[in-house]
Amino acid sequence: MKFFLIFLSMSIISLYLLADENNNNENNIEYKMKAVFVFNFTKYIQWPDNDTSETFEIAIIGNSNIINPLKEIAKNKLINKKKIKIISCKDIQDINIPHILFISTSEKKNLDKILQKVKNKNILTISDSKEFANKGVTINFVIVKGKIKFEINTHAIESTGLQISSQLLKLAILVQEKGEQSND
Amino acid sequence: MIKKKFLKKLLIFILIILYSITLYSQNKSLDELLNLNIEELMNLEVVSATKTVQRIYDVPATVRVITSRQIADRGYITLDEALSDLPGFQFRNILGFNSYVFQRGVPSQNNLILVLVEGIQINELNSGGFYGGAQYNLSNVERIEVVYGPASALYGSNAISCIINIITKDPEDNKGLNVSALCGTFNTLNTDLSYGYYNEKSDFGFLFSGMFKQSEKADLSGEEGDNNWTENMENFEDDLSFDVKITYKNFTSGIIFQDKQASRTTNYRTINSLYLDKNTIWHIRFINGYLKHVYDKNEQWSLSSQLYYRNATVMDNTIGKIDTVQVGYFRPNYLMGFESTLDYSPLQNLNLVCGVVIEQEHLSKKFSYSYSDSPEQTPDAPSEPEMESNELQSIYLQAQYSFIKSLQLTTGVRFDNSSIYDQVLTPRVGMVYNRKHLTAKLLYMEAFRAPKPWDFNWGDGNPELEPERMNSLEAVLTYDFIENLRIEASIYRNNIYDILEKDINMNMWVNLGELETKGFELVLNYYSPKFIPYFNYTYNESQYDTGNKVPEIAKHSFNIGTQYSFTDKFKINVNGNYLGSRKNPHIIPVTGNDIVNPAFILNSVLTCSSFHNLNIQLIIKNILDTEYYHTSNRSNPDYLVSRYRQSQRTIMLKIGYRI
Repeated sequence: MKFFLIFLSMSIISLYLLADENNNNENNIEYKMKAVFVFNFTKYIQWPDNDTSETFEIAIIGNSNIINPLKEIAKNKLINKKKIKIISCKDIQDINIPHILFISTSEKKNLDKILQKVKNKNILTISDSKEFANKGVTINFVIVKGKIKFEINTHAIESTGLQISSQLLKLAILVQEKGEQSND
Repeated sequence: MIKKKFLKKLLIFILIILYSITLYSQNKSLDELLNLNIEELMNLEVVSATKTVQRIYDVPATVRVITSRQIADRGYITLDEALSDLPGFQFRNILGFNSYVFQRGVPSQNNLILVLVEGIQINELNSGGFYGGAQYNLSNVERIEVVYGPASALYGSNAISCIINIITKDPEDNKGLNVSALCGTFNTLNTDLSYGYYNEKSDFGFLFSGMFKQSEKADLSGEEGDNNWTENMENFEDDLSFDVKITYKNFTSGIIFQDKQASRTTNYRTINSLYLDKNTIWHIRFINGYLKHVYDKNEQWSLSSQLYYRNATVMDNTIGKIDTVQVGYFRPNYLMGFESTLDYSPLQNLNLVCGVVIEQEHLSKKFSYSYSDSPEQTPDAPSEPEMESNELQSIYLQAQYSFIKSLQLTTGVRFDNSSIYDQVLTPRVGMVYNRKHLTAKLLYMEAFRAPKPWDFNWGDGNPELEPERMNSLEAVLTYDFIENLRIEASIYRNNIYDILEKDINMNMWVNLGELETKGFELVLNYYSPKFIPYFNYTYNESQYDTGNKVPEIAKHSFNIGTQYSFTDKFKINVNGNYLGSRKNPHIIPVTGNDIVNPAFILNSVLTCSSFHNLNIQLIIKNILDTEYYHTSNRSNPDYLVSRYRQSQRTIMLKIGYRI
């Protein structure tokens, strides 16, 4: 017992020395996974050949925990042989023409305006909020039975001019723009 | 007593490392995730050890997970192999009809560990012990969760040393057709097939997965097996398993079927004894069926319920031994049960789990036997043995309360009311501290193993047997430092009271004294896309209250291994298992002493994957062809085996195809 208490005491001391009071990573793993999904999506999606940008831009509008893991990925990875640039947008005016636009849940009120701004542009919109796919976001993350799945709005794809691999469509929950799910 | 100085030095060393580390990155497992494709990401789920889904860091227990990818990449064929790379596990593999798994220094007949498939127990009903070996369909396993330490406060009897929860794949995660075939030395063959279908619109899916496996495991004939058996000995194992899972909205139903037929040759020495080493067959069949429903429409509470059926029958064509006659065995057993679990969060920082269990079992009191007239003649099937019916009603309650964001207290209690062993109350308390890179757990748990008909009725029988009980104290420290490097240290002390032991002189099982086991586990895991090494070390010391060391347990053991990916499609896995010297329960005639020597066993797997949906693996077990042994707890020197030679080098080729 004495030995056990020594170990316990040392453990408690180490807690205080190592703990970072300002950090809470409760949702980190979920957003890390979503960031990796976003990175992997780009392997199945083709942007138009006339894309002359030097970097692959991923913009995030609103507050989302996905931004940090995306920045981590951007440090070491390339997409379509281009360096990845992560852009944080505070409002709609900040959105230029990124390759991917991640729309945070905090932008629920502005969703229609955001979608209007990116309409008919070669921008892949991604979100992780209930009903966002039905409202016109191209890819939307959902949690099903404790696992991360994703919806793809087939109508929204057409308006982006992007080509999505049928392999990705096969894995997705397909959604019609008017809000009904369809067979794959 | 544990060598305290040694352990103290080791702990101080670890803590000094922790103090001196600079925190380089928050990138705990991003590289690990980046190595997964989309389908693999979609299959990830948080693991559970509290009957509800929880993050592994929050679970008030030491939980280690074996993933489907590790099972594939490391070429695991049997459940024992999958467990062998984890800390704390030791084995007595008799290379026969069963093999025995010891966890944290407690030898047993597998009845101190609870094995669940899809959350339903698959331990044999009459003895309470699970069957080790190859009958588990590992190709259909999504992950194996190993929850260390006692868990009777949630799972009831037999959850003493640990719980092994085998979770099979879901239809939506395994769509299409998968086939694979393996062949190798010692006449090893393995074929498996699965087909999954899932329709998102109707939320309906089904998955069928089947496996047939056969192997002679090793060359144990003549000198190779200590001259226990003749050159013409027979030693086979044939396993047929299939799983069916059907999901529709919030309903899931399924069948787990395992049929194992194996020689009983290795049970008895046949040279210089009456026993013969051919034509025995131990035939046991497990059938589990279940229907589950989850109601999770409300954000504050969810209710999961399951109705289940378990059958574990030693079939009536079993020939348990052959001496001057063949002896047939038959032992049917089945159980029906219902469990319902309410998960309720009345406050943001309070979670309650409450469950009820009702079971009725119909068990054979003993084997029924039949006898032929000669060693060559097969006996008639034994008649139905005398049966007994038992009822169990249980209720459990667990509360998790977070005082502050990073500190969580879990308390729980389970009350069992059994028609066999009366009433048992089992508590648990756990504290979990989570802060950024650090997780600390302090756990107190109790557990019990109720005697089963096998204990009550063996030999002259002993109806006075009481459950054996265990209490456990454990502290765990996990720290993620540098990029993708995780260190985990746990220290434990377990006390088992009223140990159930077979008393040969009294010809019955009896409750004996106390056994204490103390130990320490150190786990290091590193992850990078190309290079995935791991190391774990276990120090364990077990002794009875008489002061005698517990035999069959090594003081030191470690596992080390790595995976290296040359390209996306070509990788190699090399792993080694070291088991220190162990005291055999009796003198080994061949060596003249009671020591089973330490051994280091090296295994390797070469994988070429995703080439036109083709997956090819070269699996080599015991590359160095090391001669090594496991202990034997057999005690009759006239015919029993004194130690067990383990498999020589085994080479296998596996080809898989996905359509």
